[in-house]
Amino acid sequence: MPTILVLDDSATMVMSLAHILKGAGYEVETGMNGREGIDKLNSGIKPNVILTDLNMPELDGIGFIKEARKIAAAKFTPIIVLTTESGGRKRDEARAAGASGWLTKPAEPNQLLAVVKQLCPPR
Amino acid sequence: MPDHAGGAARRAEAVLLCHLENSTASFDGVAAFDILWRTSSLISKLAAGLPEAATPPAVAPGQEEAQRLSQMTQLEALRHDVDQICMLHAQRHDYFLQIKSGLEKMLRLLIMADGDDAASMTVDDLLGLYVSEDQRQAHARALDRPSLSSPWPGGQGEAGAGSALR
Repeated sequence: MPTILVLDDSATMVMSLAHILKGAGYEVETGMNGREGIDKLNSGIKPNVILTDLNMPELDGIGFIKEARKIAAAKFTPIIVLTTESGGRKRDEARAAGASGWLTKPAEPNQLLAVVKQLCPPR
Repeated sequence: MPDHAGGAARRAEAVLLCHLENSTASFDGVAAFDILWRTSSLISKLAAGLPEAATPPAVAPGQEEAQRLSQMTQLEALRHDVDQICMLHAQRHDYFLQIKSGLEKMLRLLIMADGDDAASMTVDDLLGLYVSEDQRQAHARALDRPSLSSPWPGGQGEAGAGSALR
């Protein structure tokens, strides 16, 4: 089963995304900030897609993407930023850090699943 | 600026900060979301169990299949709606928590500045606390309001008595 790594500092968001993705046939790993995401990647988890928020404590989304791109297992993994930020500057920063795509909150479940399925169809 | 005015403003800011910090419990929606997610999962299970459960004996085989499909479609639509409500509310919940956290940071900075012009915030410093383009646009709209130059009758506007905002 393909694995999606979800990073968001909001417990309700993490639970909501996990619920939607599991219902669509994905394995879900979660973290509450970028640091936890890096720890998961270093522990050997190889996600097929990573969904990350931008504004998180300890290590934010941009910092996470930069560090994740240095880890062999996540060098080419699609990373989708899911955030309340819609500003062009932040988007450019995320792209420069290595983000593959961008979804602005509020996003609908169908919108989210369409993007994830395109990158990695569930088995 | 008289000291007592600045002191009164600091106290008011401290009280506002306390109100905001105390409101965290009201923002905790995890239990409500959990019920919605469990509802969604239960609907999925019910839909999966329909072939055996929803077969009224007096119905012809063709009708039986049509009824079953119709019920499954309705349950699937219901599950989809519950998931959608849940995810949208989770995102709004997260957004308001982020706005609240920004307001708390701003009040802490104002209290720390304690009337010291060098340490006080500028209006532009607020931009660093925003988490969305909507907030930046609201910021720009607020600064464009004619009332900003004199919000109180006879007042001094944004940099008036007791304000640590420059």
